[in-house]
Amino acid sequence: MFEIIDLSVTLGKKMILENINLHLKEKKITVLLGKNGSGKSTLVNCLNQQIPYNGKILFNKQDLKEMKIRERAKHISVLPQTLSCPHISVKELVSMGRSPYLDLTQKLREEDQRRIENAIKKIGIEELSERTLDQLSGGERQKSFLSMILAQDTEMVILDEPTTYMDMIYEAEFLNLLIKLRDEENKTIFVVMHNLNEAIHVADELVILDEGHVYFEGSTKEALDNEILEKVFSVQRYEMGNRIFFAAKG
Amino acid sequence: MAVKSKSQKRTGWILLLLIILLIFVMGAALLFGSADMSVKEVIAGLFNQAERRYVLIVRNVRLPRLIAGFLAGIGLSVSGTLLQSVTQNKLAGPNIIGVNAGAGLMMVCILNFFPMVGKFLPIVAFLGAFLTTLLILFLANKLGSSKITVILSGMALTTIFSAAISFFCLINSDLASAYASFSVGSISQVRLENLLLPGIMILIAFLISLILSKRIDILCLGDSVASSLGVRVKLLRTSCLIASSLAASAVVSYAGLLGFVGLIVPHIARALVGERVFPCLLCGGMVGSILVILGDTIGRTMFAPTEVPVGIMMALIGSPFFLFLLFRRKYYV
Repeated sequence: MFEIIDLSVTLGKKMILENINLHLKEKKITVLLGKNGSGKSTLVNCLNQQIPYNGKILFNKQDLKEMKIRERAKHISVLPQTLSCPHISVKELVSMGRSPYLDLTQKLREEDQRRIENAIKKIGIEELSERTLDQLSGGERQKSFLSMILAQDTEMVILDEPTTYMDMIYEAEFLNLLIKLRDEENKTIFVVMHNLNEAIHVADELVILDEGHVYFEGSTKEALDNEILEKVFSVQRYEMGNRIFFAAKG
Repeated sequence: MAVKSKSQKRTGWILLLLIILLIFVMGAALLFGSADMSVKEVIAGLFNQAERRYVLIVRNVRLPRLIAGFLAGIGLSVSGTLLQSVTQNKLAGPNIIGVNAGAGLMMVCILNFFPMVGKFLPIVAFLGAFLTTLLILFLANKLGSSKITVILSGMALTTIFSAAISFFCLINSDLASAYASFSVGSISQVRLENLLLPGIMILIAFLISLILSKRIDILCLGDSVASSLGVRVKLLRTSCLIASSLAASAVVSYAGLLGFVGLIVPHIARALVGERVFPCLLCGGMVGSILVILGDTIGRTMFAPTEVPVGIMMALIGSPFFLFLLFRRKYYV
């Protein structure tokens, strides 16, 4: 469904990503991990066609570079790491998710209205819908953007560190929403994360970037069995009952 | 997007009130002036049914100024609204895309080297303004066409052009006074036949901006999200900058530099009807027109026989009104 073939990105003389090859599994949550500066956000920018790159990114065998932007927006949605906070209501934001399906006048049809209502309901933000984004907490804002993505109704959802500014409770709630999207909406989710403990909890598959290369690609179980995270991030593994978690050494 | 809300009803009422206010101000602009005229005489003058002097005053002086003010208000507010939306910079005005500096430099160049072609100055000002915007877009495009590169390219070029204007004014003192009156902005010398072309250009820019308004709204989410939602960000931004320049250059061509409207009116519009571009364009167009017509009417009547240019009057009326709005409600700049 989603394939990255020999992808390389150079900034000036520095190679940010080199010969990245990935095959994302359908209807699974794939978490992209890596140290700061490993090229995670650069990869997301390539997937969103925001920066030039060499190589190919294929969606259903079609090269994203050759796909029309509106067509792409019907299949792939992307939320970058930093989200703006304009003075618009949550409902207006969610309605923008229908944009790829509308003509130039952007007039919503009944079908669009229905999908907007459903998206708001699914994420559980009915009580926020009339409030403006600049009145919301970081977590509420992320949920509102996730609702917009749901209204966009794409098979593939790409999120760049969506839980960065959330406290633990919101983070857990947000990650459960991702699981819900995978299970109930059959979404293929590719999410960049920095919290290893939450990543192994939510991920079906892990991709680990190290200095611009793919260090590991495989199931979460495989990564844990082979102590991949310990090697890359220099962390110590602890186990409490069935729960595994990592902490910095020392 | 057509999501019904309470704020839309409020917007409807505000637009209706503005239409009434605009009609009222237009009526006042035709009625008041150095010559005392009754409402009947004004209406008769408009339809060529009154004494010749009344017909001349209404049709050759007050009506052209009224239309010029109406168009200037729409043109500059459209220009400012587009600029502030696509650059996501609330301090943007027509000056950042080089409209003022481009028009000014072209004008002082022509007056310095070819003073005999003075009657073509409006066209010269328009060309200077519009070509400068194209040059800024070309430079920004070379650097990636992000909202920041557009602003920085505009600032760099504006600085160079302003230095060149100062240089010409320094070596030719006649130019300094001509440029000073141009930079204040006035519609006192305007004639109806000179307004046809600017009017068409402003109308085109206004229609383009209305058509694109819903897409421009999405830009407030940032380039990356907008692109993910299917918006061709670079093309949209370039189209808006060209439409913005078209509108502002058209106004500059007959009214000089009324930069204040383009900067402040979009803020007034947002304070009244919210952030979305479509109602902002409608509201801004009317607020801009009301301000310019009111400023011109007061400027030519209050201190008669001395006439205060509309640029100065607008700053005197508009700035306190803007401050009043800032204090009155929670408004996010």
